[in-house]
Parts: sequence; C-alpha cells; structure tokens
Amino acid sequence: MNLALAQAKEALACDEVPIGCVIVRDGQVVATGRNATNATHNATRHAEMVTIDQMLAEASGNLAAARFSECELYVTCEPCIMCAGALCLLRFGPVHYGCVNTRFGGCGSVLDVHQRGCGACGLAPGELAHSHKGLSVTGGLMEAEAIDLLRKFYMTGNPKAPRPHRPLAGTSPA
Amino acid sequence: MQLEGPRFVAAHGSEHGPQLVDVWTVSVLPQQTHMLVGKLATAAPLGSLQHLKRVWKTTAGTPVKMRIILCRVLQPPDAARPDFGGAAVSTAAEPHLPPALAQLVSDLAIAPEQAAVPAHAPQTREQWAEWSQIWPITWRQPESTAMYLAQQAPQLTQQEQEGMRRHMQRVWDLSGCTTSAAGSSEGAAVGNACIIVDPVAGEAVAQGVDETHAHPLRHAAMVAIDAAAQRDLLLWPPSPADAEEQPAAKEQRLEGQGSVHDSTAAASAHAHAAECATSHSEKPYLCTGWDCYLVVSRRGRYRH
Ligand SMILES: [Zn+2]
Repeated sequence: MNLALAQAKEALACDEVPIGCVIVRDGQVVATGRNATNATHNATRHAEMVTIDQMLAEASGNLAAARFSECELYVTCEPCIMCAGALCLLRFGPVHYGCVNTRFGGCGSVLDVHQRGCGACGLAPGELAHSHKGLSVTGGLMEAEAIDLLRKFYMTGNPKAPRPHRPLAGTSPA
Repeated sequence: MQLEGPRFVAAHGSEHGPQLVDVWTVSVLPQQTHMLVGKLATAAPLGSLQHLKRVWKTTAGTPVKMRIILCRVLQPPDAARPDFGGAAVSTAAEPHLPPALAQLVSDLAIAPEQAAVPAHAPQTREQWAEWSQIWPITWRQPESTAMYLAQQAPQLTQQEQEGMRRHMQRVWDLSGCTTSAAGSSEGAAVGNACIIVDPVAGEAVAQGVDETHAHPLRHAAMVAIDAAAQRDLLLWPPSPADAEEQPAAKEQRLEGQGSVHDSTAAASAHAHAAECATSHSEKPYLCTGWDCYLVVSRRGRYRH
C-alpha cells in the first residue's frame, strides 16, 4: 500500500486525482499505476484500469498469461463501480483499498458489485447469476494517508474540471 | 429496421422485475420487536437496503408475527475459491451470521429464514407498487437523473425524437457491421456498439464496437469513450503552459493549498486556475453532457 500511495503522490504532482494502484503476484509487484484522467481526457483512466493495462501489455495481451486470479490488488481508494466490475470480469484475487469512495464506490459504498459480481455487456438479467464472480475485498488500509492526499487535491478543486463539477474541500473523490 | 419512439426505462429493473438480493429474516412476536429492532440498528445497519421496511406485520396465521430483516446473506461468488475460506458462506441448514447477530438469534431460539428482496430503491410509483409485493418498501421520491428523465421524456419534441431515432439507427447499423467477427476464437461479445453524441450539435463525436477479442475490457462503451478522449486531445491539445510549469513552482503551489497566508503559493494557484479557465472555457469536460447510444447484442457471450 505504501507503493500505491507513492503512485498517488505522483498523480497529485501531475494535477491528477491522487489515487494509486499496485498489483502483486507471488509476492512480487508486477504492475503499478495511477489515475490519469486529466492527461488522457478520458474519465475511465482510473488507477486500476491503468495498472491492469500495464499487466496486460507485459503479458502481450494474453489474458491467461496475466493470471489475474492469482493477483492481489492494492488501491488507495475503494474501486468505483466500473473498476469493481472490471476486476470481477477479470476474476481478480483479493482487493485491498485505503479510503472509501462514498460517491462512486462499487465495493459497498454505492453498489455491492464485489458481492453481486458483474456479467458481460449483453447478458440478460437472469444470466448474471451464471457468470457471478465477486471479489474478496478489505478496506481501511492506510486510510488516513489516502484521504490526506485527496484532501490536498480537492482543497483547490480539480483544476481541469469546470466550476459545476468542482467539489468543495474535503468531499469524496471523483 | 423501424425504431419505436424513445421510451423511459427506470434504472435497476426490467420486464423481469427488480434485481433481488438474499437476506436472513426472523418472524417474532410483536412484543419482541422493539428490543430486537433496537439491537439490530447498531449490530447490523441495513446499509444499501434502507429502502426496505425492516419490520412488517405478517397477516397470515395466528398469533400475529412480525417479520424482521437481520442482514444480507453473504454468498461467495464461487464456493471453491480459497480466498473466501468458507467463513462467510451461508447455507439454509447453517446460516452464517455476524457474531453479534448469531448471539441475538440463539437467544431468541428462532431459526432464521432466507428471503429474496429488491436490491435497489424503486425509481417510479409503479415499480414501488410492484416491488412492495415482494417485500414492503418505503416510498421515497428519487432525486435522480432517472426521475428527471421520467418527467422529461414525454416532453421531447418531434425533432428531438427524430434525432434520437437517427442516432439509434446509426449505432444499430454499426453493431451489424461486426457480425463477421462472430467466429472469433475468444467467443467475445461481438455485436455490441456505442456512439457518443453531442446533443447541442446533434452529431456523433465518437463511436466504438466491442473489441474484447483483443482486450478483455475493451467493451463498446469503453472503446467509444476512448475515441471521444482521442478527439478531445486533438481538438484541445494540452496547453504548453501546463507542461512548462516548473516542478519547483508546482511543488510550492501544492504545498500552499491549505494555507491562505502563503501569498506566493496562493497567487500561483490563482494564476493557474485563471489560466485553466481561459484555455478550456469552450472545451467539454470529458464526456459531461454528452449522450450515449448503445446496442447490446445477446448473441455474444464472454467466456474465458
Ligand atoms: Zn474506478
């Protein structure tokens, strides 16, 4: 989690929402990443997605070679609904997060994607149970440090966000 | 293909009814209710199930019983997965409850029963009436986008409806173009397609089709969002001022964020904000305010 926090600090230095992520397999760090939504102009480039892409790139896009189910993921903030769904689809191993994400959290704060699992796009509602794969999730790891970074960032608001989207100091991350 | 007019569809439901979630319940005598509900409020808050009535009076049988929700049934996504350790696994024969609840239940000497209840709050009065048959629900007017849409949808002008049909036709055509990939070895969900529309200009700004054969998370919507981001970067490249900001100055600005007394940092932060405001004033923020049209095919299946 210290490595994930270091990634989050790097994001902060680049005017990005300070959330960092590390993937560990067989006791080794196999990928690190951080939020990059402002630089890419892409709201889906969350730390988890960036880190997953790094792993896939190293496995030459081979899903089996990436062995996601044997990986543990550390992220400084609770995975959002999208990321929680992505981690379910990839059959990820245990997930550990720092602070909760009260606005978009997909591991209990807003939706329970980690318990419900996530079907692929195109499944009928009844088919969800068939592809049901959830996540083992623990939260609160180095929570204070994670919150401190987000507070620093939101103190002046996201510089790239227009006024209506600028949250007040101390509110939850995007 | 002849497309119907746009129709409002409430979130969290379908023609098959609401999404359900399993809970543990007990039926107790009315005089036991007060004590139990008081203890449950602290031992097991309802959390995301606050739309449900925790207690209701069952009319069937005598004496009258009160049915009470204890907590959610924790089900492992895959019982064979070692990381769930079986610790949170519940079975009908042997419910696994948090320790505080297990004690309460054993004191009552009543076996908990499972029930499937609506997982989300209803978005419309109709849903509320229907879903309350499954488990009583407290009606609260949702202040959500869905409700806004529910009120706005009937007031769409003929022109707006035409536009929506045109965009949907386009994404429909787009999804049909991908059928040739149906035989891909991955068995990916081919056929899904997405376009992103600027509703002010009435034009599509980006599109995408399912690319999960190449990457497990390249769903049509993700591909389209990526395409919108690429377009955005081309039209509004990052301003040189952003890149030229000296690391030392940035460090100072960030350090000074919490302090209004540090005039240098405050001034720097202010200047930066002003610069951002002018350089990005006409630029959309990510995809905010844009519409998304999506065709999801039931033909494909995601397997690996
Ligand atoms: Zn996310």
